[in-house]
Amino acid sequence: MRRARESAFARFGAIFLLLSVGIGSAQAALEAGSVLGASADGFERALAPRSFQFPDDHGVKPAFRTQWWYLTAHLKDGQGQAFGVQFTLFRQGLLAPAQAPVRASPLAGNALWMAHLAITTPEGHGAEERFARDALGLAGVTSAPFRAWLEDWTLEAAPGASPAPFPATLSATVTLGGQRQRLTLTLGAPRGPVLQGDSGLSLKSRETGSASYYYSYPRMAAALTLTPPTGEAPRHASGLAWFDREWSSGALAPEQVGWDWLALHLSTGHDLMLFRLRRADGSLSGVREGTLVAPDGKSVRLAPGTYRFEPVPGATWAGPRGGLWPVRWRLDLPQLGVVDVVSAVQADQHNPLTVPYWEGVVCLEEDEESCGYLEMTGYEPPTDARPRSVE
Amino acid sequence: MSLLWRARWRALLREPGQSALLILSLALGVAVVVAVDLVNAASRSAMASASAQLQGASTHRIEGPGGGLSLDAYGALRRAWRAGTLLEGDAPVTGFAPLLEGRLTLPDGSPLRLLGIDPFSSLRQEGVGVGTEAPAAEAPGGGAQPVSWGQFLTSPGAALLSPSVGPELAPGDRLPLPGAPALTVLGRLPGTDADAAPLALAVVDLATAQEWLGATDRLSRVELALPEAPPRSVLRRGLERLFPGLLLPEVAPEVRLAPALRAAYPGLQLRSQRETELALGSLASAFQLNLAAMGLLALVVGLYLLYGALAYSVRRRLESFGRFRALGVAPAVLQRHVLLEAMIFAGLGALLGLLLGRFLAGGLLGLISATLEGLYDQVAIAALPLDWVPYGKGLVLALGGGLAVAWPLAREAGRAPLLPRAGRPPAQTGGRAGLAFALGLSLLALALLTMPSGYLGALLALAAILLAGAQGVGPVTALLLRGLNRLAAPLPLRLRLPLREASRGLGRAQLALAALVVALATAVGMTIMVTSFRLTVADWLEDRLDAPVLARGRALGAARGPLEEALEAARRDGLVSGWVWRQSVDDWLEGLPVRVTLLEAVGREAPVLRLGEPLARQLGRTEGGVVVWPGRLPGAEPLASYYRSYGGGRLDLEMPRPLWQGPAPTGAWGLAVYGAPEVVLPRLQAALPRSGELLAQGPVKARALAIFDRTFRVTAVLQTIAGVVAGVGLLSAFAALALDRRQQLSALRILGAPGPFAARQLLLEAGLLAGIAGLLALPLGALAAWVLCDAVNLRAFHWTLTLHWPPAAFFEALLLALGAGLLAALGPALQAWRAPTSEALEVLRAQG
Repeated sequence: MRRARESAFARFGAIFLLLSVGIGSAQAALEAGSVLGASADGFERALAPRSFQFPDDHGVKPAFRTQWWYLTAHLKDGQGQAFGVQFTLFRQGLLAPAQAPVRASPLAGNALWMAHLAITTPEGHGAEERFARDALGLAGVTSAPFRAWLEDWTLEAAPGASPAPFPATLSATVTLGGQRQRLTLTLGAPRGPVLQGDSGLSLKSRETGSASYYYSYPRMAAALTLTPPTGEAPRHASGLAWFDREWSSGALAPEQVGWDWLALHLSTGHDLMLFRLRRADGSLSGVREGTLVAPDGKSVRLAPGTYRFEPVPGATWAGPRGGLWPVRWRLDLPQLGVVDVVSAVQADQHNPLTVPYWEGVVCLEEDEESCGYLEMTGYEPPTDARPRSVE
Repeated sequence: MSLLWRARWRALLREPGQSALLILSLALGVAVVVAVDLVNAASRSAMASASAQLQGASTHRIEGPGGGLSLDAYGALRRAWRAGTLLEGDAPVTGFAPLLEGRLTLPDGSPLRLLGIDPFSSLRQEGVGVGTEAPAAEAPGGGAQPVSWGQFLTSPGAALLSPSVGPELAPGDRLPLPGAPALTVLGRLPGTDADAAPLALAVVDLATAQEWLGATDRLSRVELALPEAPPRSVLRRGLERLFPGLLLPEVAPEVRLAPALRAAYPGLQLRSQRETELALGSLASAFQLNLAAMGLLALVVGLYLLYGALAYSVRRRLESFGRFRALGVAPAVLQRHVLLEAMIFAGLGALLGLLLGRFLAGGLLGLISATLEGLYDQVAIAALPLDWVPYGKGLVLALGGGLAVAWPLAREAGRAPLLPRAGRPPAQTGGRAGLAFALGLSLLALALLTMPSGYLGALLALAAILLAGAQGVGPVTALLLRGLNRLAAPLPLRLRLPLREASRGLGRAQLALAALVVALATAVGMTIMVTSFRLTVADWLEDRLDAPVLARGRALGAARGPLEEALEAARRDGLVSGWVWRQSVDDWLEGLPVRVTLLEAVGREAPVLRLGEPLARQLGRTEGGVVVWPGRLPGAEPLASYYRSYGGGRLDLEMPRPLWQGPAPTGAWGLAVYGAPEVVLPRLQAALPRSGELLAQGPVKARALAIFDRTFRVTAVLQTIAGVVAGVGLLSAFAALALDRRQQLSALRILGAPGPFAARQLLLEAGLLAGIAGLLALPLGALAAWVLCDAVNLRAFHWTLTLHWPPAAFFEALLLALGAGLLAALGPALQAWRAPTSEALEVLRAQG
């Protein structure tokens, strides 16, 4: 249960790593890092449970290679139409602090930032991607007060939120329907934190033995405002949000090619997260996790035999590059009496970015008040396009 | 119809050399046009390739004051771009890329362009930006290694090199650089090979560029891609391709930075790349246009010859056309026949010209490349592009021109009288109509020269003058020969005979003579212009580089303290009378890119604010006046008279350093020392970290003049080719003349005149006509030189050339004319000499 998202982390981290530092060095880092507490390139590794310190741990961990801050929110407007927002900020360390040379240029940075912002509206789905060097304050995260930003995409805690990063506001400029719009997502007080895995330490994959530090704030009230540039009235929607924070120096096992991840806010007040990793031939790689958070905030790990999470045969959406993405999933969770199908509110919630993936709003077909986010990767090969700097 | 062609075919067979020479002269004209166009296209393609590497998809650029951009301003611009508030009215911007550009020196002394980019916001061509598939670099022994973008960002000095830089270096190797730390080869710029990318370029991360260029506080600029960048119309693109060198300004909606940014960062400039290209590239364009004009001139000479040959051939056959008409052949058929004949000649000439042009282009490539590099700091041209436009243009010009010159003759053939007229075919001496036409052209030239018609107008005026001269050749020669005939009346017949025959043969030779006059006049004009230019530049160098010791380099600024001490000591010892420090800064003045040189003089005349001539002319301040330059000058500053400047594409001005209130200059330092080199150099070398930057004046001047000579070698080559075209034309005309004279000469032979007499007659006639052509070419050439210097150069390059009149240019032209004439007559003369009397009898019998 706790290890569900960590593998997603591992996959993203791995691709990001390949993109940033080259295939050769990524593999070298993996091999050396699996044995030692610190990998050959000087980054620390997550080997044992630690004592989390909030708000400090919301901030950057420069000693670890990869980390991310991940926010998803599903919402509905006054007419019941579905909206979704995904904001992810990744930081990839290129050089461990101890190995970084002293540079005269203020533009020299030893890390790279990448941010994804994807929005689903009744009119469609769009995703943007940005990169920035770790210099001139172009991107960064501070822990107190909590602020995570890349240029003008900013997730910022309200005064007095600390030690939690919420209540907070995400503000950004995005292009929707060819028009630049101002996005404001207001997030309320959170449920959590929920420490994932073994008190926040979660194994990435059994093969490599690598792990990450990982916690979540699984439920916040969310209110979205989209403001067009001139004249037109702003659009409003409200719903629920989920936030993950994770850091590591590891990556996926070589045979793992993708994963399917689901986070649902059930109408009962429970928060459900399910995750499975796949091999190239489509079979499950053995890492299959589930976590259920009760309305009182207590979380339990779901044993593999206690739930069913698998695609409905034939219910796929053909992606732009030939991938077949399963957009309806059989979900059985007997302990809550759920026997249903999780279905995408829109089939095309594909993010055609440097790492192409599908991530979007889903709801139970029999209970439309139970909604969340589904993330799927590995159904099509990575794009060969260069990272786009999308405004 | 077949009868017509059979008759023509027989005539051609009788004079195969004539047809071959005609086709050859036309082919040479086409070849020059095609070759110049091909090389100009290659130059444009090399520039485009370099600019694609350097500019990528950018349409606009933002620069700060002094041509740099502070990091603070960069941060503000980037945030504004992301928020969509970069431009006035929140106009959309699709790409935004910071850039730091500079120059380093390679171990062999050649320049290396250093381009600092942000790999995640690059607008550069595919491959320079980061891809998920890292570009492969060839590893030693084959195989590819991935380029690590992590290293690109984090390793100081990690560089992607263009193929021409250190081709033997493999990834991981170091590229040593004099005066800077070595760069580490990370890979090669992908998708290019040495032929396609001759640019010596190292692409590095912004941080490396800042460190290597010593510019940790700034960037060069931010480049933007704007979606509404003015589309370049098909017509505009077509015109620019057809007329190489023509750069048409864009009519673009004005884009401005947002007012808040302008207020927060005064001095930020947003410019379109096209605007910059126009400002910097117009000079090179003028050069290319000049070359194209020379190519066209050669073609016009070729067409002129075609007209001459056709006119002669048609008029000789008027009687036979009349007979065909009497037999019922429609005039239209005869017209078509003449047009088709012209098309066949033009077509054959064009096809041969296209082939010759391809080879000629190969030869011209290096020469034109040298000019563009020497004068305009452009990239070298490595290979000819596969471009059909120059070939198509050559073909169309030749066929179209052929059709145009054949049209009046075709009409004449269609109107051929039904009854034959007695006597020789009419001589075409032009007469009053020709003179009137020449007068009209002269008036047009005068109008173009007195009106503000730009350098295109000046080129047109030059063409009009040459054409007027060509029109005048026939009547003036006829007039001269008539006068000479009268003067020669008392002389014996053998001396009068060539004069009389020259007058009679003028009809046939007139057009060839006109072509020769035009070619010679162009040669004289170009020689005078280039000589004047060279002497002017030499004088200018003498004036600018008057200090016996010169030093230049980045290290000079750092060593200024010790150098000043050494100079003061030398002054106390009486070895040095004074010195001048100079440093330059690039900026924009009244919308023009300028280089400002800041001067500090010790023991010399105090420097003043003055503009270089090109800038003074562009700004209309040749008479002095004032300059108001907010942020740079304290107030309205008076201007001293302008100074001559021949710095290629650069607009420059100079001023005393204390007057400058703009950003600190970043350019290399220069130092001019007034003292004997043999004593000054050793003293200064001790104070200078890299003594290689210290030079005696002599070699610097010699190098400058060597570059100049290299630059104008291409002009001489084209001049020669134009001369050859005219020579070939003359050869053809005199050969025809000799054929006409066979009957008379044969009669003379039968009457007892010896072979040498006939040969001498032919040579004398040719010499006479060619000599007259040579003489006529001299004033026309002088006029052309005057237009080239005082109108074309002044308008295109904004610099004044002092006219010099080298006597050699005139003598050479005369000799060339006489040589061409005599050479042309030599063959027929020898034939006349050797031909036995029996053959003369045969000729007489054959011609009735």
